[in-house]
Amino acid sequence: MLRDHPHLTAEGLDREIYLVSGGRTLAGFDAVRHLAARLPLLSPLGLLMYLPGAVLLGRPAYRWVADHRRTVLACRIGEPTIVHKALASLLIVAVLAAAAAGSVFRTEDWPLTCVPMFATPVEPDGARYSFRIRAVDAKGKSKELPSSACGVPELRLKRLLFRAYGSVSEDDPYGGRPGDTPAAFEARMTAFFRAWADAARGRGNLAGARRLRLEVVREAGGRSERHRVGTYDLGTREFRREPR
Amino acid sequence: MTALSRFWFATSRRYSMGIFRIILGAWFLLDFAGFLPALDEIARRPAALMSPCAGLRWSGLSQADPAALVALLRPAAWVLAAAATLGAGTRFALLALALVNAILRSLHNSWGYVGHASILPAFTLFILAFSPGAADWSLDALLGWLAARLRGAARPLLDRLAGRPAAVWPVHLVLMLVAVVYFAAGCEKIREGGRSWLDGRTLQWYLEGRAHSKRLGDSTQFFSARRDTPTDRLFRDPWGLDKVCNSAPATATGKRVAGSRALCAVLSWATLFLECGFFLVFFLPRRLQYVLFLLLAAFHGGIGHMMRIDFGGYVVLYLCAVDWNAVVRALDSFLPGVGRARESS
Repeated sequence: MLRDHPHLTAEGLDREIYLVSGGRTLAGFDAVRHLAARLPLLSPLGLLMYLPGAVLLGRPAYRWVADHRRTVLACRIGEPTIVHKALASLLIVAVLAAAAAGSVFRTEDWPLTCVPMFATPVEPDGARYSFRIRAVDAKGKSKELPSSACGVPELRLKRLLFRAYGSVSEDDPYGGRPGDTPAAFEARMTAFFRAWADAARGRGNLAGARRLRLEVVREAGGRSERHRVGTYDLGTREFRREPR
Repeated sequence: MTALSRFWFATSRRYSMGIFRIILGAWFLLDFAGFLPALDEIARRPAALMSPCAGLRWSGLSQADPAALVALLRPAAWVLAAAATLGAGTRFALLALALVNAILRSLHNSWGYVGHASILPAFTLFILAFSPGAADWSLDALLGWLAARLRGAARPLLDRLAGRPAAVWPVHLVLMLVAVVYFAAGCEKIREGGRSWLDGRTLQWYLEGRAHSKRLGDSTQFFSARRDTPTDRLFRDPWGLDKVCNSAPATATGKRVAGSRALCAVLSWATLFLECGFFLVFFLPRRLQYVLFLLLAAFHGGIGHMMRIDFGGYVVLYLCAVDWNAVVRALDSFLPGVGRARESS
């Protein structure tokens, strides 16, 4: 090599890459961009390297890589390079942050979770609660509608309903509503029942109904108690709480 | 800093992300057999009631038509899962599968419900897609070996398939991910249940399956109330509805265990120990790590048996930490040459 190109030196070749082409000799960053611009896959990068000012960044960057190729950037077969380590570190931080975020912010929002399954204690009498939606006709007669009448399975629909309904615990991952008020509650329930009623009507499940009544049922020790939460008027499309 | 760097980026021939790719891919194929056909039902739900989850919002697809997404991505999920398992276009298949799976699961979880069992396998697919060594034991590696052989430069086949020693960060990240979620679950039990969890009463109640009553509608959930709620917050109902709770069906074994409060207390403490103590996996010698994995597999098996809740996807994740190269070496007695080939890599 040195015999064929006497203008090159061993020290120079050790310091940077040389490209001898058509009587011209290019070194370092200039050699790299000359090659990159002529290789189809690298040509977009090569063109970028010819933009005005690119040499101001490119030459020091090349110098740094060349100077550190036997120290910081050196690796044995199979060992991660510094670039690999940097990208892997980003992935590690992102994955662990996402895994911890659900718990830190107490949220249930796939894939964020605070993993609350089977943690909640029950009252000493083992009370369980549920929602019921009843359709009320012009004569005041009511019948229970499956919450899935709108086309969403009950397991999901009642969680959606609970998100709108709200929990008394402001940090509850499903129904937490900090600073909730009766007016805000009615507004949310109005929006929920508008969507629910439109979907149920579209499926022919509201024939003859004038109002929808939301109830909470408490069941404990074989006894059931009901509480009327409020009524959604299908004409005015508004939800109002029952007077207490 | 050096210790941290060594923890994540030391190289080892102990693990094989290629073999783990095959196992996880096979699990996804099995899981898809139940999950993907069920997506038909999502396409028929009213869009107005959809509540896009974080995964869907992050993907920028929260406004997209669920039916169109399902129609487009479901066939792709099958093809990509098969390609990732076999290792055909491995990197692309893994990354595309991770994205497609995340979008489909996000759709499934955009109706108020959170499917916890699908979260960790979904994250793990992303980790695997970027893992060094994920393309070992693949069709790609086999084709690479054939091409090299045609050029007359082939290494031994098994050496080529098994790949090189690789950085341990994917294995440690999967285990750390599991540890974070387990720890969160343990903390939640202490936070929510407190003494009621520690004395076994909460677990006893759930094992009895008394919440699993169709009379209250859907039998897999109910709501609980906080009876000490201040009166100014009781404007919705007189009891103070507080939480969505999961329930489980009563099984014969579950009822037998629930018959003893002492046993429930022991199991409650054991659950806390396993969930909060999983971090110890990084400090345990290999054999004790395997003991911990077996205990956790038994834990999830017990939950599956007593409560019919499937967390098999979590158990699959422990398999990333198995010394598969030792297994391959052990195969030497059945397939002469296998171990030698691996040793020379």
